[in-house]
Amino acid sequence: MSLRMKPSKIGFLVTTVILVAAALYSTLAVTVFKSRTRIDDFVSTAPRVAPPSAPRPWEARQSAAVQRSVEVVPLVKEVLRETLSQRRARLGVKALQLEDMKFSYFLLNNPIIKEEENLYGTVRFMHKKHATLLNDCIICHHYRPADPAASEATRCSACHQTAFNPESPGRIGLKGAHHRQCMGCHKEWNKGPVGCTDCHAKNVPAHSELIKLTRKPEPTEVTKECLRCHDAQANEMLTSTHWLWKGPSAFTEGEEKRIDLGKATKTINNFCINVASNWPRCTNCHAGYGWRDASFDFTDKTRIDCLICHDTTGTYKKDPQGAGMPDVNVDLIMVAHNVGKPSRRTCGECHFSGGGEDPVKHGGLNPSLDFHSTSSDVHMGGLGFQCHECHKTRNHKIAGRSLALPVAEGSRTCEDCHTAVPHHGRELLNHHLNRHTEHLACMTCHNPVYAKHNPTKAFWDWSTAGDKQRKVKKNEFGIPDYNWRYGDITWEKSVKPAYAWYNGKVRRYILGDKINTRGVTLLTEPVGDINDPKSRIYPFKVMGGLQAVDTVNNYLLVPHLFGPGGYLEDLNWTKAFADGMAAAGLSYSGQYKWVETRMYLGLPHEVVAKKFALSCVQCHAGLKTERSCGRCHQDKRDVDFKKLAFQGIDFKLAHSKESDTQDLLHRTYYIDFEQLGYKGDPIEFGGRFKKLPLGWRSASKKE
Amino acid sequence: MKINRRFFLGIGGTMVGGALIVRPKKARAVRKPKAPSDPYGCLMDLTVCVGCRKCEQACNRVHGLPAPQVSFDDLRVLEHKRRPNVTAYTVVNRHYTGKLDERNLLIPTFVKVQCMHCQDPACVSACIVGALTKKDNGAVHYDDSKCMGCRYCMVACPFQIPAYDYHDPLTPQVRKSTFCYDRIIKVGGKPACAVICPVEAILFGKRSQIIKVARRRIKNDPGRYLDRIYGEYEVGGTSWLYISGDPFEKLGFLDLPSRPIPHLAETIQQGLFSYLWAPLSLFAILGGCMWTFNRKQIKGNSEPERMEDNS
Amino acid sequence: MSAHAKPAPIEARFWTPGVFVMVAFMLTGFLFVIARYIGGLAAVTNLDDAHPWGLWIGIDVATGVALAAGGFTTAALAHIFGRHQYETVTRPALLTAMLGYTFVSLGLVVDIGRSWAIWHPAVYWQGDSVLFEVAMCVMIYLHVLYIEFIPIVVQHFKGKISLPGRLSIFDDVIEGLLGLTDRILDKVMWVFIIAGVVLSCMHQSGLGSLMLIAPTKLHPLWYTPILPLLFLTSAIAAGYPMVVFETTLATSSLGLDGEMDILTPLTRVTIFLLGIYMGIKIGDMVVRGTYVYLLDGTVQSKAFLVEMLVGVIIPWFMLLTPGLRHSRRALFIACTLIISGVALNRINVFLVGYQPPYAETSYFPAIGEMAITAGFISALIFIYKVCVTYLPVLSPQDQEVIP
Repeated sequence: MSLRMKPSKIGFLVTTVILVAAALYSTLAVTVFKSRTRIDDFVSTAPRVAPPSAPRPWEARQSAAVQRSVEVVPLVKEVLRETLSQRRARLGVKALQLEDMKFSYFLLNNPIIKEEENLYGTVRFMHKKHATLLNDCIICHHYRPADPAASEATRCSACHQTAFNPESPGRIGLKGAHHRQCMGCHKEWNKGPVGCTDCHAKNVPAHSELIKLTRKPEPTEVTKECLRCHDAQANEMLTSTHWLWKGPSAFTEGEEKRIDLGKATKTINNFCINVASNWPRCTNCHAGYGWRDASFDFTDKTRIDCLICHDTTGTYKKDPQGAGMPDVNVDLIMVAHNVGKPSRRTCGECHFSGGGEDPVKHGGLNPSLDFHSTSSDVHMGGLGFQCHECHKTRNHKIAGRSLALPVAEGSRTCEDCHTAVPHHGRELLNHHLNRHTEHLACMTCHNPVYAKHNPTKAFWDWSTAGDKQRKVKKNEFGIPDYNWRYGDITWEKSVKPAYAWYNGKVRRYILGDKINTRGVTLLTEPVGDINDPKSRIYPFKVMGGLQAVDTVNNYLLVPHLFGPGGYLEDLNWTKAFADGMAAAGLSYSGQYKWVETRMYLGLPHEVVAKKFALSCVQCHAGLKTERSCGRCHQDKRDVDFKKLAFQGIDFKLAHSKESDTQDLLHRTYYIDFEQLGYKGDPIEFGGRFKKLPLGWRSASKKE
Repeated sequence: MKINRRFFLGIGGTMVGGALIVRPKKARAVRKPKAPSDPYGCLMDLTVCVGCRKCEQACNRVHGLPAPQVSFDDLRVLEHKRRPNVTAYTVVNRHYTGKLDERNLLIPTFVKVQCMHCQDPACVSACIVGALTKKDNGAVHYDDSKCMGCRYCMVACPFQIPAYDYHDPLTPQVRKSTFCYDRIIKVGGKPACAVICPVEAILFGKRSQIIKVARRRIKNDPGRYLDRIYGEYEVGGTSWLYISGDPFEKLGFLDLPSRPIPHLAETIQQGLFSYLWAPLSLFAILGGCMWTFNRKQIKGNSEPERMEDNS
Repeated sequence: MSAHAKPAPIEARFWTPGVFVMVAFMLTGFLFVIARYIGGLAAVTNLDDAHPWGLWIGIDVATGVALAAGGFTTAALAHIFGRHQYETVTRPALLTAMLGYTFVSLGLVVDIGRSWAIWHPAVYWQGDSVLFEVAMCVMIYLHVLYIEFIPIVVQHFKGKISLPGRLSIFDDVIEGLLGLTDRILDKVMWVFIIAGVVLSCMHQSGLGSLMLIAPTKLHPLWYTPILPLLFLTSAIAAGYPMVVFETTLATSSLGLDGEMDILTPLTRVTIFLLGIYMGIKIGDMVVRGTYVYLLDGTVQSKAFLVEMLVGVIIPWFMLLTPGLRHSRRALFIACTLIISGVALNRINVFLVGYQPPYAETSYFPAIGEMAITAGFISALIFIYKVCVTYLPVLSPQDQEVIP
């Protein structure tokens, strides 16, 4: 036998060794993990160990929560029955503290509940938030196991399992325990959700058996099949803004009571301007079939496109020019058999590609949200949220508002879930951060750059369109900077938002309004003022553009762009404006000129966790020179001031990961305080309503 | 015609005899209570119910009832008081007892209505063909193959529960809660409404056990509950029991006697008809009368006309 | 003397205008019966889950049974207590009872949800059920009535059998059978007569027991543990007035003798029987203290007052007056009041006094229910007329001057 081995054999040996090692290691890891996740040591009787200071990565929290949610632990048979005060008295100084909390986030999805019936999906439970707000663990952890060795607080499912167990009659099951504990409190405090679908998403029954479509059906035939059972839902849909493209404009200043504004009527933007005369192209995002012209019948239920929202296969596509008709290659039966709840993908089908293509219009709404990336959006990426989990939908009316559009079927804010004091826990700084929420929207810090992964349009100059001869250059993203059809378009990626005061109302240009002859016409503008307590600083994408105005009538013009006779084919502005204005029902004098317009677009998505949020020093540069908290607080040695003040988004790291953040690298005064109406950095010059103790600069300036 | 003494005595005697017979005899020993010894029961805690109508939905599903016109998620139906009917064996009603919360809003109390599954049910006693029976597991069970549709059960039910397929021309059924008989007869089986209840306002278990639980709850939280278990004694006890923080009268519950409803009728019935003694006695008395009165004429050459001379 | 007359078929015009009206009612009723078997009970009735029993039970069954009491009371009087002078009225009373019970059964067939299952009680016995007792008694009694009626048919056809054509070879056989039947029945008829009375007592009181199962639903003015006794006594009390009523109607409409010599003594018995009923009923009211409900102005209290005053007390005093007793018209009025009093009692017990606790609407019979009831009553009278026309039921005599 030769000592020399063949390379393949060496490879084999090495692989085996590695495998064995891996197996041993994983066994060990599992053992350790198991012992750690025993519910009994939620609070161990052993001396407390300080919680790990470094925040766990987001992915791990979600996956760990998923894992925890399906664990079934042995039933605690005997509990120590005490009243709240007895328990408090017994525990004394050993009372449970926030620091004892092991998990800040739970998913409630225990198989015990689903044994008998399985109607609803997983529930998210913000443990830390509840713990912080209640500040008393034993309100929820009401009894402890009778076994003295057990921990003081156990998970719900340790005591509450199957309902109606004859061995412990009267002890309610897990489902009842969850509901009573949650809803009881929510009702008592008039806070928190109490409706079924406020916490749960309904499971959709499999439709493959229910749907009876045989041959290759027309899209409207599919809808008819849906209507067989869902007529009521279709009626809801008929009055929804996704169908009508108009609706209540409660948040548009001066137009609060109107219900006729919307994309379908008088909303205008500086992308493709307006829907009138451009239907087949624009309405490919309409949740309906065949809105080709103004004669579309909005009472015809069979024209509702159910599948665009309820597709789960990801194969359903609309024809981009088809007035909302699906692509001919889509297997409608297959899609219909697999209908389900809307998802990021189905919503994104239209909302990610606003303006015609992916993130052209809304920098913060882009396909990266559909991929599990925590750096893109903490909810959708890190925690796997679907759109409808925030945008609560009732009767096919979807809550949420936008600056770009006047219609709103309800409103959602971060505070709905995170409360007005969203920085839970007892971490240092939380107090300061929670004070910020009076003046800053969450996104201001938690969305420091938008269009992180895909470039978005920033400026669109229609006036230069039509030059087929012009040489086209490519910008840094590889996108042509000019198109003879569209004109000059500027693109940006990883953009620092613009900041403005915003109280929730929008000042809006409505088709037919006079333009601002002295300067830039604002198509949308947040209403707010530094002196308005309801206003807070919000981040915005500001889209600029040059578009045509009727020089006689002084209002913006609607061009007919798409389709036969449209500008994109004929390159004839006069004809395009005449056609477009006719379709929009406004007169056109025949003369036009180009003016600059600007519109504010909100950035409520692409929210990042604290790890990627703005740090203190990025706005408050004055802090960079401080060494400790000692200027205001009694100094404590073990507090690392630098670490606190500097923790947050690292643009260098972002840049290394292909984010276009070079220009932000050493930026201070991220927010331009003076432009917002402050004298300067509020920690130096004082806040808008009161002087901070730290306002030394204003005092010194006076001297 | 003269009404002679004999005639009077005869008629009068018969009448008095009949009266004596028909009077309810002290026959309590005759009628034994028919309640099963260890039935299941459901305890509904009215302080817990949130009125979500999930029980209605579950009931509808397990019984294969037709889909309702208004979806089960639509709580506007609670604006009107409803009764169980042929397409809904259970309904939840909302009652405002006048209690206010700290925001001065009326606090609703929700009451699930369904067959109470009496321990000694009037409908079972009434049923002419025995289509309704009280099962050992507590269910008042309906067998439509025996039913002939007289609807006497509906007359008898003190809770006004059974509903009827008035629209079915030939094979209508009496409809009411089944106590999920087919489910609870299996080991570990539970009624669908109890299982689905998100807040477990319905506790399912052995009746004796859940009465203990109810007592414990009342004792542990006297501020929350009234000291009464509705259905513990009403009409001799029911398998469905309720505890509440509001007076039951304000929640649409009836004030019913504790004596089983069938008691009186069955006492009379059994008092009269055990071994058919009463009819047979009457037969004998009448036979005696006939013989006495007709003897004369039978002797007298069977000439009925002779009797006429008397008049 | 009138009683000497033998019962015989009536020789009167059959197709009178009244008969055509009856036929019209029958046809209407029949149409609604068809509707009932197409659209279910809901199509023709106002019954609902709160009011499971309606007009058909209240009138067709309960009142029908009560008013058919003439059959057993006259049978008892004439055959058991040996008052043979009343035999002339037993036949029409028997016919009325037989037809009455037939239509009670037919009414039930229409009323019960599963008409085809009407035989179930005969197989699935449930002895605790009052309704079972009633059903069995009614069923047996109906047979007894038919058996009691057989001699009338036999008597009519005996000796006259002459089948047409070749069938005439069976003449002797049938003749023989008729004779045999007649002879056998003659021997055993006493059993059926007594059985008829016993069964009647049982189910007349049983009908009252029916509502004992609904102590919380039946208005306290009527709910009493002695409800069966009240039903029995009222049925007995209504028996003779019913005979008076129908005899008067039949004789006057057929142009026969008023038979006042028989009817007047019958009413003397009625004074006694009605008195018993009245005494028990008032006594019961006093003992249970339900007089507190008498003047509370509800429909129930009014109905009770009418039932007692018009249906019991006034006719009782009328009958007490000898002058009125001998007036054919006054007698007829008094007897009509009595039977309507008893009918109203049944309607009160089953319909007016029945108060379902959760009822949202009150019950009032639908057109269809009324049409079917009217159809049944018309059919009953129609068949009665057919029978008296072709069978020896009534005892025709020369017209007498009405006293």
